[in-house]
Amino acid sequence: MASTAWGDSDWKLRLLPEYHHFNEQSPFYSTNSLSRQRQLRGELLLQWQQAGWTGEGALTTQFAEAADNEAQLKLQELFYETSLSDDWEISLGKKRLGWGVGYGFRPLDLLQREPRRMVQPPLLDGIPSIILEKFSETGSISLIYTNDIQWQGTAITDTRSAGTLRWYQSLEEWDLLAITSWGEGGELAGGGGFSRVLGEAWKIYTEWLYQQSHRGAWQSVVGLYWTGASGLNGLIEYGYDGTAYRTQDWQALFDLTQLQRNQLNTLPAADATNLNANRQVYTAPNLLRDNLLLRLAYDGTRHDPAIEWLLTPADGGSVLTLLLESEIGNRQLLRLGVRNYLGPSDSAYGNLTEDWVLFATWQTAFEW
Amino acid sequence: MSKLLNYLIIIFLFGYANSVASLPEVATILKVADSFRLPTATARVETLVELYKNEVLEKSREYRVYLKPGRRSLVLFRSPQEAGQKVLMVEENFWMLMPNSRRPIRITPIQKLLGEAATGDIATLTWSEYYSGTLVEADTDYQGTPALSLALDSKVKGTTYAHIDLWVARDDYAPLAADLYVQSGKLAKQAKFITETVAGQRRVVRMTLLDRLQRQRRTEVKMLSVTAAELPDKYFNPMFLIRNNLEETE
Repeated sequence: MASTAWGDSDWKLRLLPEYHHFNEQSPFYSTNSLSRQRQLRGELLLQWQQAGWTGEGALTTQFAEAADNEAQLKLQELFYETSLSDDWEISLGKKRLGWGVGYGFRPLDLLQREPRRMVQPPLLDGIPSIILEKFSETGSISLIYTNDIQWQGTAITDTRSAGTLRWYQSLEEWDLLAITSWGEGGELAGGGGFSRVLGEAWKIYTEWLYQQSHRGAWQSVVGLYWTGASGLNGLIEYGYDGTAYRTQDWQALFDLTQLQRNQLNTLPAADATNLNANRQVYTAPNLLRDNLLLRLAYDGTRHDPAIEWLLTPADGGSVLTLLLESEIGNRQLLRLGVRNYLGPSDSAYGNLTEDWVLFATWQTAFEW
Repeated sequence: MSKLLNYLIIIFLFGYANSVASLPEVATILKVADSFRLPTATARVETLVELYKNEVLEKSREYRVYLKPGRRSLVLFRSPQEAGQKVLMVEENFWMLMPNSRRPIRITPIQKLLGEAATGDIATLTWSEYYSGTLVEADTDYQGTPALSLALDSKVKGTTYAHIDLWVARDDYAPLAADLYVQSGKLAKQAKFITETVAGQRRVVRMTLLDRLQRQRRTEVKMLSVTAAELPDKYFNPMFLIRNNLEETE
């Protein structure tokens, strides 16, 4: 970070081009999708720290052919942290909050989740929060009040407040975590998890969450991670999501969507709206209840290749992603990737509106 | 106080240096050798790491390392590309915090070997806390400097290197060179220590690491400054990594 009289600052410029190839056989496909075939996002990011204050802002511009292009200036984080005593700490402001230990799926990120469908998700916006924490040498207890505000322009469209209690303890090779949260409607969520290192090269982790708000649904994940001395590393992770669709739910949705498509000529406006609504199912964290993630990567000095394969065994669908991240000199980073959605025509991923996506990130860090 | 103690140890040892038979315990020699890299028990070390491939500088990285007795180190990544990344080591347990993330991730001992420079190379600046040793040769030389040869074996779990062959100067036990072996028994790196007089004290100011697994690679670890600085114990709690108010204590 560059130090100035105004504090420590870190600037980054990122360009993120994407090319999407669409699946015309998908019942969710619409010719409107073509307007987003080629996309380019530009981001100017600033991280800043000064005397307990931390801020992060982004100026983002989005270009897509024949679509409404937009520019946004966002204050993603702005918070103040200070010590109240030797043990007690407080944090106030807009801050990202995530506590899960999983790699692909993190049920314990119950207040804020990263979107999983996007190949290059933007950095998450922080949530307005007050966090009071007591730290010992190996553990902590946190009391968190959040008031998540949804904006549309300058108007508030929704607010959700919650109180959360989090406990953490490190015990030699173990990290233990427990969380409970109450929403403003009285709904309760609670869960826990641990990660443990086994010997020199292995790590096992698990987490689980019960959510009253989803008619008593459970979410859980268990994973095994291995690192080799050569830099090769592998991961196998199973995730269960009780809030996700089953195969029969998808089949019913496919049938309904096909019916609505057939009626497009007679009731175009209503059915186009329905199609859009049906597509929203694809924004869920998991498309099916059982999910298996396999990852093999190489941690090189300059180039880091990786292959990820997410499978949904219930319907035979999968997502295959190839990645290569390379450092250029001291300040630049280049990331190239391709994601392919696979599966039979009655599978969730096989029916996605996209076949495959090519994507890249070029990032340079600089001082102002 | 620790400086005075180091001087006393060195003066005490000089009295015996002429006689090989009366060499002090290896543990004592290691403590003196440690004082050339880390003159105070709790310290803040600013480090510049330069990575060469086929003798061409590929990249450089800056780190700030806080060290505390009890095998505790906190590494803050300072280069623009990595700013915000942190690694915490507490005994044989390790965690990493990635930039823009609010979740510390527990990492395996092998993971700290990976990356630009093994994080262990910059965050572990003492041998006496981690290794037990035996004297191999009391009357040898290293590139013309009269030296002692020591064999060190890890006495705790999670060390970066399982075995070290170490050469220290026979007159004052300043570290000269080391062969660093990983758990499998392979020679991973060869280190050479360069000392200079800083503020009236002879100190290690640079460490050259020759990679013996990827032979075209060489790493220069330059210790830009070592200052006495003590962080409260809670800063070595993994969950505290997500807080950014570190500078408040300095």
